[in-house]
Amino acid sequence: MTAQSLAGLRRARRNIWREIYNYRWIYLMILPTLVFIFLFKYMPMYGIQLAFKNYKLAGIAASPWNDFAHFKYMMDEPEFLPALRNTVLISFMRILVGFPFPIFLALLINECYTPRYRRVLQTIYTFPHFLSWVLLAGIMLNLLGSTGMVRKVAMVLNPEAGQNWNFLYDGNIYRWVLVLSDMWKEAGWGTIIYLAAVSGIDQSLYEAAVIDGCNRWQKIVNITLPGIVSMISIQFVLRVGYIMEGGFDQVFNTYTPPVYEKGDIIDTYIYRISFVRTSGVDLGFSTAVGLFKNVINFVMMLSANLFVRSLGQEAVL
Amino acid sequence: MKKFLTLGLALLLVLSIAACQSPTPGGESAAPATDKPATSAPAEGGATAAPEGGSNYDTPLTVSMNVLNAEKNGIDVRHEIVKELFNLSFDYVPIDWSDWNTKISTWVATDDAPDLIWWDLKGQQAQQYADWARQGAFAPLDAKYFNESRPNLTKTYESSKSIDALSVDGVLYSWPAMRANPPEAQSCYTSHWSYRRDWAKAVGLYKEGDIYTWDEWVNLVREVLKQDPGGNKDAGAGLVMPTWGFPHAAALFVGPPAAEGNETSSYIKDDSGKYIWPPATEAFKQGVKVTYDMYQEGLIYKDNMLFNASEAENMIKSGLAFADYNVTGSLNDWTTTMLQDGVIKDRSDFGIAIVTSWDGNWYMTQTEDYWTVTALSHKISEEKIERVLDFWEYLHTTDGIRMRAWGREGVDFEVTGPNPEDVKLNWEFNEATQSYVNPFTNISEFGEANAACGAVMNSVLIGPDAIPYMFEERNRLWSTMASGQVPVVIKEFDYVVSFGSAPNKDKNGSFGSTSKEKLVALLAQPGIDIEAEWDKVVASMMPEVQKVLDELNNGELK
Amino acid sequence: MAQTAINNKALTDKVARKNRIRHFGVVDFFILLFLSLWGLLILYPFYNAVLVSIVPNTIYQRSQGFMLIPPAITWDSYAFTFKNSLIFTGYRTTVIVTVLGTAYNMAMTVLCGYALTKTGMPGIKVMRFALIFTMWFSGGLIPYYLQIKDLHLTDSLLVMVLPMGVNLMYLLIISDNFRSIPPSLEESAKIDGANDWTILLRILLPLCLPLLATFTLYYAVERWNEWYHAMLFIKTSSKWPLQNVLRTIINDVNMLATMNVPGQARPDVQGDSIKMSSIIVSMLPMMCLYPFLQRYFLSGLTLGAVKE
Repeated sequence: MTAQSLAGLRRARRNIWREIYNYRWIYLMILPTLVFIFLFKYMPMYGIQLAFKNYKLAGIAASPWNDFAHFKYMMDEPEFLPALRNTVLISFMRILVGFPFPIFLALLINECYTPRYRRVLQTIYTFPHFLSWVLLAGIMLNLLGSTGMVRKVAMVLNPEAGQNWNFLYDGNIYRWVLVLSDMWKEAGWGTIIYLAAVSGIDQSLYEAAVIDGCNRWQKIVNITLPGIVSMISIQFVLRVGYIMEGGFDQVFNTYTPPVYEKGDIIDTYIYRISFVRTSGVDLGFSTAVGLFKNVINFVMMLSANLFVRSLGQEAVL
Repeated sequence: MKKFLTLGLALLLVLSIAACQSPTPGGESAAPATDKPATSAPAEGGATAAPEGGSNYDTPLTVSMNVLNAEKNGIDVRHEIVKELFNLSFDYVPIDWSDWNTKISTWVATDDAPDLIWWDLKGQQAQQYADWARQGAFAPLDAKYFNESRPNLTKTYESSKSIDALSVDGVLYSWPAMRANPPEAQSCYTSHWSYRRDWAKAVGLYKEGDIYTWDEWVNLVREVLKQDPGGNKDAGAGLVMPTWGFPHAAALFVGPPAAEGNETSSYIKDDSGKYIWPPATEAFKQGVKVTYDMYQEGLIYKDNMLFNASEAENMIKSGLAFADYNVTGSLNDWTTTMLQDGVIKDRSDFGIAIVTSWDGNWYMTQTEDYWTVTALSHKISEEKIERVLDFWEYLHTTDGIRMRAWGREGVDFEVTGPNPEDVKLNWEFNEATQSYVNPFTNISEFGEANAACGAVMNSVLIGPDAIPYMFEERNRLWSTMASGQVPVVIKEFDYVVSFGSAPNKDKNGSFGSTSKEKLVALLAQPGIDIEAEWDKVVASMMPEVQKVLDELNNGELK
Repeated sequence: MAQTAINNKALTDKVARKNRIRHFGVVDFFILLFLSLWGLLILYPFYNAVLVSIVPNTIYQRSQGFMLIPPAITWDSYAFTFKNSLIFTGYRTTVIVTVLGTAYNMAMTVLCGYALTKTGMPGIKVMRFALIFTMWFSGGLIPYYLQIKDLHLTDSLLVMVLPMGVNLMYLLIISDNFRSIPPSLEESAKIDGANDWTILLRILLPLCLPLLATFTLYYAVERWNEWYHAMLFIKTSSKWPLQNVLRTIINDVNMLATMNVPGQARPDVQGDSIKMSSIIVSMLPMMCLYPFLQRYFLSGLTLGAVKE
């Protein structure tokens, strides 16, 4: 090694320290978060090994390895694969319908003519977010049940077809009931973040556009949408990263055996295995299921990230 | 490339943490030692701990315990009395119905359990319970604690069937809170069809004594729906069931086959003494067909399968439904609400129907003779065990029963006779409702430890503060059972199968909830050949079921 | 110079006038119609849910879920809810936890979000990945419980604050938003001698006000609704937050009705109305918070205004 390159190396090292010094405040800023994730997220992570062990009271480390028994158990169950398929499908339907709707709603609210009215509406839209599915399930039963109002209206409109509309017993319809009722509940809450993004757009852009003679549609396409597109892409990537979350509370409170085939998701299925049927599963089992779901989630998120990046958007990772 | 590098780094980080953690096995959850916890000298155990006076209770003790309604417990005069008598106080850790099991398994797994672990332990969790007991999570309740100084506990210890079931490798690890039913009930579960007598009378099909043959019962429901004495039009319903009873209560609970759900989920023995799986029997198939026909005809409320809380109860209380399958314990409450709301005119308008099956028998289902158990944490001291057992023994005595129900003698009540219920209450009397006002926030205080032993307010003990209707109805039921005027067949509770352990049985249990789900799924399809469909269901499940049956019949059950 | 100012003034006036006299067109009509219909679709079931809590159960049941004007009103379920002595300690705990927790969350999120924009900083990529990794992978309940126990947080109010540091999703969005602000602003401030703290507090935060308001609201609602940690780790019911108090009230009513529990006393009030009234009792304060924050994300912001 020549003296010259050695000096260069030393200089580079000094530069690193200098750079670190330059960023000293930034390090201080990120420090609390790092301490937080270390204490509450990484410290307990040794528990992941429980997915491959039979839990014993002696402790996680002392528990015996079980040769992937939890995963085998999971895969052997005849209802597991249908539940997996349903979870992905229902999640996909939710992304297809439930994801764009708040954006659409936010744009409409933004275009609303009277400011006061739009505030009132906006407030009303957030109400259902606060209701729990336990309660909404009761209301859904009242509205969509076999003597419910919606069914009655359907029967009046179309007596023959209405007879066959069993919103909560027919698996195919039930999936849409899930997707749409979730959209009903959460869309208003979801608009808040898009509206915030819209109001972060520089108003002078709109003023300039007005002077340039842009119409409303052109303003939306050329200013509003580009202004919130990075928000949309982050939300999209993260949403895809939760594809294995099918909405336990909602499904659990509204499903019935006739729709298990089409509406059962992994979480509800695991719940039935662990709490309703038997005690043949231990603490390791839920860790194994969690790990399985999260690996899929993680891979999906990475692919969504790639997809978004290929569209020219800034990536999340 | 860089991404993979970072991924690798992150994994490394995780692994290094895992490595750091490994040497100290699970931190504080270090293996609960299987030997007895080091405590103060256990010399004073057994006979000397007899509750003869205050002298043995010099050291004040506080025992932690998980209870429902923790905020209502431990705040009234009854705790003062226990403190005076036993120098014992309680530190209550809250649980509720929905997180009970989660909490117990978390506590046990992290060695953070209270001294007394109160548990809704049923056959389903028996394997986990035994597993934990073998790993030393609980303190053993040896025979030495049960002698003449604690006659009532000893009687239970020697006679209760569940003591064996709750013992692991011959050692008892938890104490059952016994049910309070009298002997003629034979540990049968008091759940029944409760129906609108007034409607039965209105359609002219009421039977004196409320005893109905199957055809009479079905016809009654049909007529009530047709004539609509409640004036409900299409909102009315015939039979409704709570979530745990749907759809089995309609025909399977009251019919010959054993069915999952009525506190019993199990395999049964056939005539030759071999274990069989109830859903595969002809009798069960017939029950399925009866249920299906009733559902399709509309006798069973169509949306019953969508219920997930108290909907059935609501429909009954608001006068929309004709009959509900429920426990007798709720009769007083429901009739009170219905009277207040003007749904019925007299309590007797809503009562228990004795429905015999299509084969002429009246079927009753037996259950465990306890309702909950209390396990002792392995960390509890010998002194605390002795003290707690003394206290439990006291709860069985007449004094204890009265204390639990009414408070302090001389202040809350005066004694008028030898029986526990022979008291005069000094409580405030409400003229409007013609009943005493219970001054205690928690009327079932200490119920966790001893639901029964005569101290449960709504069973054997009918004090001056109780509404008699429910007890009259229940006694009518039991005396009908004893009189033999209707042929009673009891579906026996099999402790061996319920609590026993074998690999496949532990994995799959009785398949009861799976078969129930399949049945419900079939109910929703109109116009199918239900018997053929049920055969298919059974055939599809049988390979797995057979493994368990083989275990049972080969004596592999532990 | 003066000429441009006048021109600018004229321009804004023109824009304002144009906005004001904008015709209420067909499009506006349809937008309004759609929004109103959606509002009705939200409002009716919600109204129905409110009715559950105030209409006597018998009457509600008989209405089959369709009722516009309640024929009778009872406040029994609210009385029952408020009769519980814990409801007030619950409110107190919840308010403390929400205020502390939201401040803690926002501080961490904003600081960390700003740090994540410094892509040139040594080690930042690893840190970013380490953060994101925790969104998907966790050790499960038992080790987490042991960790909380080792930190002596069990049965402490802090257990409802400290373990809920940052929501990674909000962090990423905030960070992304910081990054979208023109770097020229920051550079010119640096030349003026501002350090990182000044830049963050004086320049970036005012520019991101709508988002900050949004996440304050989101965090506040999350902290307000927190029950899981309290359920697991709080062992004294007087330290419970509101949600757990309500959960016990609901569960008592609910589970006793559905499970077969012989020998247990049942509360004499209807389950559904209790459920609904407790939800209203718990959500009202949060619903009141919303209109206050609303002005931050419904009114537009101009970069120019901040520059001055």
